[in-house]
Amino acid sequence: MMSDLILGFSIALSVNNLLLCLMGCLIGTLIGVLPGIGPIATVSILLPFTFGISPVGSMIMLAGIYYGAQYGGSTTAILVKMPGEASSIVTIIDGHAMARNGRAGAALALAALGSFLAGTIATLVIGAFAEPLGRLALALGPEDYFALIVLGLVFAVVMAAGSVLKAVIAVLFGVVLASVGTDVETGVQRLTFGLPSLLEGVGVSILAMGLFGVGEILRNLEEGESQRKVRATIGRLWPSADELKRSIWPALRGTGLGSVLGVLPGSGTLLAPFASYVIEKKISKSPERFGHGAPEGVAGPEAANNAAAQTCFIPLLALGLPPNAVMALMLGALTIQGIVPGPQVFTKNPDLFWGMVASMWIGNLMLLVINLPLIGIWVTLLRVQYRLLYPAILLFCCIGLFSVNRLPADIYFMAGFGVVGIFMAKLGFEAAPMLLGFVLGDSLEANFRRALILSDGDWTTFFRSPTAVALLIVALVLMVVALLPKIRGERAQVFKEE
Amino acid sequence: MSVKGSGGGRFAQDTVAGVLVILLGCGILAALSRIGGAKYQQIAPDLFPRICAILLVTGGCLLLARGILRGGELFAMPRVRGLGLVVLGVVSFGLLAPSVGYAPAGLALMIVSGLATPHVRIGQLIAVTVGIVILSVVLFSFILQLPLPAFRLPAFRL
Repeated sequence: MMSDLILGFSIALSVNNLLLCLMGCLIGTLIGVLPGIGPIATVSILLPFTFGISPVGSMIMLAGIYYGAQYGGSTTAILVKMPGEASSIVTIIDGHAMARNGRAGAALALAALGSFLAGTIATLVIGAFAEPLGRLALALGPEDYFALIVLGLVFAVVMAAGSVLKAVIAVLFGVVLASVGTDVETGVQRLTFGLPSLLEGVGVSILAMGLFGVGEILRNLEEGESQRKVRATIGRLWPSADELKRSIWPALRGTGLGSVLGVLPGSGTLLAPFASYVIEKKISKSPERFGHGAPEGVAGPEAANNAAAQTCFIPLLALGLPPNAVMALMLGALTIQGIVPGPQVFTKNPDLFWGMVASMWIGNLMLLVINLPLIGIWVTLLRVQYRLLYPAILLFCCIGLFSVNRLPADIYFMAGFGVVGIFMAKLGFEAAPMLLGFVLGDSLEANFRRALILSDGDWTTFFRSPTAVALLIVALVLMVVALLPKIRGERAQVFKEE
Repeated sequence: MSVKGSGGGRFAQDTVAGVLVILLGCGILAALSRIGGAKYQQIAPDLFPRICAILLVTGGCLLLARGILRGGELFAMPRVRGLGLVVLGVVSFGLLAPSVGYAPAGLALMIVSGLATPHVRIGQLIAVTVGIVILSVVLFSFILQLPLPAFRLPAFRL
């Protein structure tokens, strides 16, 4: 692993990649702070601009946006009691309480230090576990891969907020959308309705920008503009010795928890901070301090969410299975660049994998160094009104998309998917499972067909491989468990705050 | 996730969703019915989407049944002003960008979509629009050098 990491650092430390990493971290923090725009929308908007950059560079930048947004999200959670990201909801409880006690600076520093520690350890976890997992995946046949993708999609369904049935429908809709266009095996046009712009299928950036760019804006306009009261006094930035001492073990435990939960498809980054907070409160000798500014309640969840945000790259890179919507977009970006994430990535594109792993550690260091001194700027940006922000977001969406093919049809489809997005929200559907279904749809169908062709059309092939059977049984059990009334109630409780 | 609406509807979300999903599934099945069968050693190209469409129809029926039997939260249409002006703004960009360039199209997009919120302040919107469009020309045409014309007006090309 050492020689691989040295290769990674030699790639990540090139001037170009350092600049891209810095840009990603800054954009990520910015969107984590700004209201009404999250990492999914930002990665969607920036996707077309990355086509001209090298695959390693684009991944480094997009990854920086993702984990940078986790940092930015905690800033708003602490200062204005508003989570910039869903994963920062828990940070509000004690982070904002610390801010009310005049310890906003210390809370921000604890969040940053906890995240840095988690980022450092998670980088090593990725380096250690992704390649063995990838090697394991090389032995899988098409029926096994089909079952693995089904399991990934079931995880996405189980972990999605709201109704399980609606999440299943959203996934299916995404999978059907993925089959639009010319079938590569037979040359037959499927669901193109005679439109030339659909011959090559629906572009991932068009769907993502529509659902998460335009759709998110429409959703925010429905909700109305909320006033954000910014606490002006940040206080001393460096935490006290007692605060640091209290935070070290929670941060380490949070890192372990986040590293494990991040690998699971679904909402690992959302569950990890919740789980960390509950555990810290349970094992604390003085649980009554929680909710009133306990530093453990900031350091633990922040470390957990950052560790999860990094280890969720493991299934993407090792198996080609994106565990959440941002990873699905990254998969789309890699595919457009001609790289197929999965087991082969370690042998065919070691520079991409190790360069990205190394850049994550560098990015975390950058976030620590640049973000604390920049807190004043982030506080100023917190005051930006959404009514001035969303037309600019729309403009960047349109220019980004138009620059790819210069086709007005792409813009119209984006608007159309925006309308689909708002109606989905109005009808209680989550858009993220649909995007996952869309991104994995091609691979799901390809493995399904390959398995059938290899078995001469024998459908029992999916039940003859022990691996496929085991994976399908796990998927079935998960679905059944998620549908149990008690679990359904608990899911609703967990995701209520989203 | 569901968002607040412009007003209370008459039907439960699940009922409306069920009907729409059934229609969607049936529409997909109808569109797939025009596709020919498979040739030697091929799996029919419509097989997989057909299975998904059947599952969609099944899911839609379950949703519809749940909506009718249990009711639940009512469906509310999105506000016409927000939806209409944002879509109009984006469509106007698509219409204008190829003929006049992305800068004038961007002006139209930002002004039209900016009116979508009831909190709009016209003066502020115009000032921000001009600023952002200038910034985007500098960023995309000069710094990133995207091969995309900012202006395509006869007297002024960039």
